[in-house]
Amino acid sequence: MDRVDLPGQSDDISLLKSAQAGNAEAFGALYERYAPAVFRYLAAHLSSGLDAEDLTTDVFLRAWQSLPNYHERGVPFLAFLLRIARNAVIDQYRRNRSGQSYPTDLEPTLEDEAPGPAESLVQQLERQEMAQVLARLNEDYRTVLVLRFINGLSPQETAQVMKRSAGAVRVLQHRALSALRRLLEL
Amino acid sequence: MDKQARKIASIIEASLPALESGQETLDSILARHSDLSEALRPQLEAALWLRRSRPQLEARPAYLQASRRRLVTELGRAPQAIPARQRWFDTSPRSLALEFVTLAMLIVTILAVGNNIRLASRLALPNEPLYPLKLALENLELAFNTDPAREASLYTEFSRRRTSEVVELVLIGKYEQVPATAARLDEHIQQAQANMDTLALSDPAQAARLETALQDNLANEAFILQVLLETSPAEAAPGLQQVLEIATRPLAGIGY
Repeated sequence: MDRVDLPGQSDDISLLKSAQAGNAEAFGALYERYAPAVFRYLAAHLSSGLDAEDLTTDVFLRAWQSLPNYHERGVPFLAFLLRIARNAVIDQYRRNRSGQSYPTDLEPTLEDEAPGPAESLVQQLERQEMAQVLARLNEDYRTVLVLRFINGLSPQETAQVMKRSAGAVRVLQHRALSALRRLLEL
Repeated sequence: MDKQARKIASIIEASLPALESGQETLDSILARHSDLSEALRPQLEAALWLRRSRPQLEARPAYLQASRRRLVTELGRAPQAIPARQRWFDTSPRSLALEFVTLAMLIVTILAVGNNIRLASRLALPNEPLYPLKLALENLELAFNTDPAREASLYTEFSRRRTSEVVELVLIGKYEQVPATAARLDEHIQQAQANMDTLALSDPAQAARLETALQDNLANEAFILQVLLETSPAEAAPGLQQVLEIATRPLAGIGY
């Protein structure tokens, strides 16, 4: 399966070392590399694209704050980010259940970030359609499908994010694809 | 079922890129895996739907560029966590107080656990897990002592412990452990007497008091052993007689 947005680990290591020393620009380079993958994961879990954008930046802020305690030790940086993203999604669900709106420490969305009217409408409709299908799957099924087929992670990398064995990921993927196919028939 | 699921997952992993690039068709892949085609088809179709839906989940380039700039600015206001190793050296009063309390609780716990083990070892009998610790603690007590009078008292106390162990061993039927305990008793008595002989050169009165204490102790123990000998099974007799012979030897001079 093709792998996108997953650059060489050696580059990551030097950027991570700089970022761990407090270099914001190095962390910005890591953001540029990995934000698309984190966004895709979040967008597949949230009905609003703007929520996914806010949460993507929040995931990176959380990662920055815990970066000094991050050690490679077999968990690649993308897996580390996606674990944070997974926890952020779970937090978001809890907040929504308790009726709270999602708080963000960041400034309001700047004008140059806002989508144009045409882009916004088409993208939102397509995304909502996909999100509606995925939303009917349980959380584990949705996560394994997004990580494997939207983000292109290998079973081993998916296992690192989900804290399961690669074998368990393959079995989960099989069940999730069956459930998705049944939904697509309706 | 799980085995088939893993196999299908591997086929999808291997064939999806060729399917997406148009090098293969769904039918050609299913033909190659005809034994699994029924289960494989819906899986491949669902996987392909996800791959084709992927563009709908792409972030807007304008958002990525602007949010990167915004994040880098924001990072200056979001301090990184202090690494665990550095936290150990944190010298703020609150942190020092917390570390002191933690350390104190750790020391108290270690002392409490250590004391419990020491007390439990006192009850240990030969061939039990804590018995070597019991002997090691006795040796430690001797090693830290430089006073011959104190050393003689310790050997007297240890000889009492050995005879008590013999009584316990006989009561629970572990007769095979008695000879080794008897040998230790013999050694303790000889060491006690050697210390008293040394002490007698400088302080005869003190040496005489210690010798009386040893004899009183052994006389009491010999009485208990004698009663035990008369009431125990025949197989306990050889060991008990050996211990009695050792315990009463220093009492010969006082007509025991």
